[in-house]
Amino acid sequence: MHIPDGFIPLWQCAIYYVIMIVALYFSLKWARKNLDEKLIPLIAVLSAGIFAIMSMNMPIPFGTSGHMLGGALVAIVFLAPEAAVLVLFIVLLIQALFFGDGGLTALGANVVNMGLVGGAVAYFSFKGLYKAIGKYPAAAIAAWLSLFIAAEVVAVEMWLAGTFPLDVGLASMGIYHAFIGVIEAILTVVVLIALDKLRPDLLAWNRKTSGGQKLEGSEEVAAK
Amino acid sequence: MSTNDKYLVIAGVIICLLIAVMSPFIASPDPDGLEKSAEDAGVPEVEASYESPFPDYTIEGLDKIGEIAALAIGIIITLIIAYIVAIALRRRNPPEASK
Repeated sequence: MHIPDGFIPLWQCAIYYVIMIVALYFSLKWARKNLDEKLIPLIAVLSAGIFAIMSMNMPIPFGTSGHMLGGALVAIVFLAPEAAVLVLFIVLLIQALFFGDGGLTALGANVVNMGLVGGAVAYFSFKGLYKAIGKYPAAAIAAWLSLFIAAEVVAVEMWLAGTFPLDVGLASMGIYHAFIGVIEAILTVVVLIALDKLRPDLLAWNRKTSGGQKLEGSEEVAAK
Repeated sequence: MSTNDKYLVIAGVIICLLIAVMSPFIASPDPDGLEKSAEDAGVPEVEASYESPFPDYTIEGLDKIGEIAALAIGIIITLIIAYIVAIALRRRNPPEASK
């Protein structure tokens, strides 16, 4: 769902840039508090992995295709939507600068949609669900929701921009991304299971959080 | 970097490069959800505001090899830039919780 140049008028692009910069300020604060030596390689590997997986468009019905965004994965690995904003900013900036994927003028909107909306929806739905249904089902639903809601937010932005009519945008974006969300959910859970098996120390749900303001129940999650 | 973290980076890069090698062959060429929605809404294609070095993840005239190379370059650039950004933003004074 990389928005290209020309879909959003410049003055609206500027608004999304402002939102992105505010979000990045919180990412910076999060990093200063939580990003220790051990998590630096993880940020780098997740960024490279998200860059790579975004090239893997998988076919879905209706002659269209889609790929994982990864915002949900990052938000759940670190239990911080701030981390998703940071990683998606890095990946989307490189894609726009070097590969013409997503417009430079639309970078703010793309980071807001995939990093901020995607990360925040995943984080809050995971947090709300994991006690009731377990961490992997919660992660799957959180990942699906994060992609679906981000897509509908794009539809609203396209309507505000005067690019899509609201009804066509919501319906089309919703239907296609309901399928793409399944890809997001499966891959998010696969990576989480792999990390939990191989490097459980890297997952925030297994760590006693140093900030103290993160997940109150993180130890209970680990105990399950 | 600890040995474990080196393995993480090496395994991560290997997985990414495998994706880069497979992607040009198996990724779907169909329009993505947003492009298809734009078609549904009758929005015309637009010109990018600026010419990127590897548009559409290809290197001109190199076909599949060019796509693999462009992706591999992108993966390495992303890894390095994310690493540098993470080092620049990292936690400065370890709080009491860490040993």
